[in-house]
Amino acid sequence: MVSSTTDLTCVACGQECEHELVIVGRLLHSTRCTACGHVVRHEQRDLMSAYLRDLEHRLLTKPQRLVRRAVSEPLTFLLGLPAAVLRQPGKIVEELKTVLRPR
Amino acid sequence: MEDAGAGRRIYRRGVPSTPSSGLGPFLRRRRPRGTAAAVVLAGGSGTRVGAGLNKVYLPLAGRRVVSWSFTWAGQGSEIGRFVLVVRPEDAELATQTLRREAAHLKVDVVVGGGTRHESEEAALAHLAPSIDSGDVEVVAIHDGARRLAGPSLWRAVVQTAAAVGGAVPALPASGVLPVGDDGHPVPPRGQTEGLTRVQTPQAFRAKDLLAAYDAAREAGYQGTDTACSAESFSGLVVQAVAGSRTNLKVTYPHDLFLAERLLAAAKYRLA
Repeated sequence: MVSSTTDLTCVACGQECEHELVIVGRLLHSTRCTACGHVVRHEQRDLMSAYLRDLEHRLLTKPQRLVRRAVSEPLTFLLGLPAAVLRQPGKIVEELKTVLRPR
Repeated sequence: MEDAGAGRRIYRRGVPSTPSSGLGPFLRRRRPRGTAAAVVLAGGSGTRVGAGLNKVYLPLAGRRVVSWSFTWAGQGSEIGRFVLVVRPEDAELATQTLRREAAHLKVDVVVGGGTRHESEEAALAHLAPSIDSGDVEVVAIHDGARRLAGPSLWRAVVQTAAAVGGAVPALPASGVLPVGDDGHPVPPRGQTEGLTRVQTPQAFRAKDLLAAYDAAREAGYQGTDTACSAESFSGLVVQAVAGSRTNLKVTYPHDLFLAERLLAAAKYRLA
């Protein structure tokens, strides 16, 4: 799960201000206006299926992406690989917890 | 109408990509590149209100927005030069992002100015030697926040600009009413069928565009978009090409969700 902030125009208060973004895997989970607190979420009813489709695509394209990284930055890739592998289970669990969390 | 023959030459010349780092340059499939340049503006308007991430570096479907723009621009053979215009504080992030996500392209990172016009000027100044030597014959300038401009749109504007002088993507602007001084809509007096919403990338013959921006600087003029400056300070014919309804600009939170869904629906490969 990744959190980020950016300036967007809020549909509730109309202000252009910072919004907090929650990203699960490659999927935008929700945005929150820091001025009025208005939250825009991914539709809950298809969030899990969208997440699973995205996870499947990530898994299928992972070998290709690993090769691309290994070719473009071999040293950085090799040095970072063990830690990256160890991080994956925790990352997936965290993503699932966010997706399954009730509103 | 200007001679279209000169524009067609741009597809015959090739500019080999320059090695960057790692093994990629040795394994990379080399192909001749065209003599058009893609400029992506990520400088911001200078009116940002918070300390959040510049929209063009937001993650979208696994990559940052700006990487998608270069991915689509680089899929055709027309474009051989790539320039990203950034704010000074974003230069390091931009370089890292491009190294990781657009390593197959050589993208020059240029620091822009406080306005869109100044950022365009900075990009043109960077490209000026190549424009003067004839290596770059068409320049296409794109707003980095429009993340879904597909390869066919890039191709259309570059080919049209090469043929007639300038090209902008446009869509019919239906349901538009002028607003009076009091802020209320007023009935249109003339026909409104010809109104269009203009998008980016906007492409122009490079030498004419460079001369137009030189003239604009001397006149102290700052255009709101590239077409505006080009039309005001050059004799270029600017032709509209069909824009795309999916080429949306991110303004509201919903735009982010929509962009993500459109990309997923296209299986992350835009036409």
